[in-house]
Amino acid sequence: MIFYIFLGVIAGTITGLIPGLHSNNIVYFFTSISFFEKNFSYFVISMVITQSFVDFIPSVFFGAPDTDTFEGVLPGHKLFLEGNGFEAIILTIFGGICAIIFSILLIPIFQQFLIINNEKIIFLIPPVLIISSLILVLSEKNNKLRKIAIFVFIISASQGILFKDQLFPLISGYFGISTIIFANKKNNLIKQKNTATIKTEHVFDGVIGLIGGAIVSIFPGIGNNLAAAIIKLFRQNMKTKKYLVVLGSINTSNFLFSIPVLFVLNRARNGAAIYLKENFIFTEQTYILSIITIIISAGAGAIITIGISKLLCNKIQKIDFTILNYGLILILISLVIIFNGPIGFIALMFSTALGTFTISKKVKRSNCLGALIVPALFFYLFVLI
Amino acid sequence: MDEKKLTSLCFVIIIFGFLLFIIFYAEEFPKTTISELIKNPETKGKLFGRVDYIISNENNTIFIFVQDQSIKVFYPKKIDLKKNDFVQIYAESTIYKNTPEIFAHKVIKE
Repeated sequence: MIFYIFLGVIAGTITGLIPGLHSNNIVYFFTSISFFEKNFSYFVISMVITQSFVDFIPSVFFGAPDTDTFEGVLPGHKLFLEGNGFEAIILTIFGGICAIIFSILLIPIFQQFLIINNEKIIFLIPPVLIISSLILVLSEKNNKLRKIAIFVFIISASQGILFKDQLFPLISGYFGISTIIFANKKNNLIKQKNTATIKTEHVFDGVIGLIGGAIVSIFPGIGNNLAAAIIKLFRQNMKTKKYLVVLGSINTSNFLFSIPVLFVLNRARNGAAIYLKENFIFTEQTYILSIITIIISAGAGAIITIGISKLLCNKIQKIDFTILNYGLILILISLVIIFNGPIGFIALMFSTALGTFTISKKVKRSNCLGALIVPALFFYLFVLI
Repeated sequence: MDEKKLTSLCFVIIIFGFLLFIIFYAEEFPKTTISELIKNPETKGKLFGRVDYIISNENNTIFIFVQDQSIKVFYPKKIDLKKNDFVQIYAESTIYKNTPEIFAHKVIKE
């Protein structure tokens, strides 16, 4: 079992470092060939948890988004451009570690909550999504910007419906390539600090993220980023650093809570959980061992992420950032074509156009989340009706 | 807290995880036989043998399994099995209507 955890940590590091390559891709592969080995489930758990830490590295250092962390691209990359990329990574790790510590304490309560309230919670989601959308658009500074925000929200919503299952191309356009295009114009890379200090008050943000992670683990259609964006909307004054802790916490606790959801409700929320649902042997002991796997791989994933980030901080000054940015655009386009085909490429063009329009008009890029919110809203309305 | 303290905390978490692993890990499904499982109800083990007869295969799969003797197996999932297929079962012995049965946590076709 330890061998599989170790392999999972290595696989999670690789999938985390390559934007577009998700642990789900690996899991889908093994699902498609009907591979079964009793302890392989621990590999899957370990890989997903490790990736939840490592995948902030490309988001922060290169502005390259991942489907789980794209909300972190803007604040994380912003800190990077100020020379604080390492601090951004440390904040997300701190969030993830808070999630591990507190969620393990909260799992028994969460299980009871699931058993008692499972039927009721689903009715709360549509109103939350509608209110969040309204707050998102109305939070712009003036009426002119609000009108543009409504336009962006509607266009992104229609793109989200039109390009269903094309999440990676869409987020790469909204939060990735458009950011890189504008970053290219600046082209002034500040030397990165390779030390960081975290205030203990950020523990509270870690707990907030934990609540987001718990919500995400229960409801299909609400991803990590959408949950983070909703939390941010309800806490408008949340600073960049706090937001990164929240996002780190959501990213890790989401999968952690999906394990009790799977055991208690037999409901799978993500690709890895679907594999586990089909192949895991559900006993009390395997449940405990899966939690232990999460603890070990979280610690390992965090240490690896710290190490790689520190290394990057020291090396990144030697990189020609203009070439790197063009290279990243090429990589993102190639990954979209490989994983999503021609439709993905079309989705990428449309979403990049909307992303650059949003930046040029100086409205919040979060308005592009219409692509996630509206399809999720339709999903819940149809489920409830 | 700086990154060094955070790294130390992560090492503590890993050590804590390994301690829990040492405490809780035990081979839950050792290789066994039907006779041994029947002798000790509610014990678990890994069985290897042949499918003798399929009773039902809709949402659940119920079949007669043969090893050192035959027994009825209940598997709460649908699996495509045929007579004389060799299977590996992650099994738990149960008593249903005073008759020993096997609850299969997982059935794998060989």
